Amino acid sequence: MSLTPIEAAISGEDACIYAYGVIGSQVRGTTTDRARKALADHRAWRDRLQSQAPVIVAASIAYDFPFPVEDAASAKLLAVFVENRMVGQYADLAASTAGTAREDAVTAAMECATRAIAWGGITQAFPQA
Amino acid sequence: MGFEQQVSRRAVLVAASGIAGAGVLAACGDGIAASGPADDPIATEVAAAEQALIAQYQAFIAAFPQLNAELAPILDQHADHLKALGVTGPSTQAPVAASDARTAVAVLADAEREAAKSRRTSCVAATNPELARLLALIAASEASHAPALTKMLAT
Repeated sequence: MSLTPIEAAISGEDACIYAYGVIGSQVRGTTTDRARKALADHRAWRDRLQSQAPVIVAASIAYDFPFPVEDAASAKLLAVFVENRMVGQYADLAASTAGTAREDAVTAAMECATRAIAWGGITQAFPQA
Repeated sequence: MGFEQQVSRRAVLVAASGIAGAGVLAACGDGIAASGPADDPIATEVAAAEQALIAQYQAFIAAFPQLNAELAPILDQHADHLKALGVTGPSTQAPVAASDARTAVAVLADAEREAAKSRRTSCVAATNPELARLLALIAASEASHAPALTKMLAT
């Protein structure tokens, strides 16, 4: 099954939402606030995309992570991973849209790349996970 | 812990094609760097802006060598942006001066924020989808440079 760019972006946002549930459970204090804010932002983008997609995209029950997430350090690495991964999906969406939809996709990509830095990621010429 | 075991085979497969797709993304990134959309007026305009940013970084690194270790990787990323565009445009702006290293970093952070917004505008104007994809990635990269530079000011 091959997903369209908007379906892939919605699926990616669902994965982010799931990931931030796990991330939020591993961090404390002001970092919990950062996770909460990121979770709210990803939900908002997911809902916005879903409202524009021709079909409803179902989320998975759970997702495999690329490495075990069992403490605050690995939780932060997962946040960097999912944010950088979304940048590529939003760039794909930008390529397949125009006008306001494309502007939204670029704005979302910029926000994801910025959050990756806040979580301790390093800058990249072409952000990717 | 038991949660993972309850996940259906399908969900794991969907997840495998999604969250663990780093290899696929890496391949896409390389493809973009190799095929620059040359002769596009938007690509030429962005290339000129990238050259101006590169000149600004070079001027500040020359004036404040202590910034080299942290600024050089970002400078290299702008050089990668320029290379991916496949065109070279003349730099339109002369580098500005800064009285001290902290001011220089703050000037660069502002310049990156403006650059990211400008790339977004160029992306929306692009007619070539591959150029739009590239400009979205460059906008994201430059948006991420600003907080990385601001972090330098906090230390």
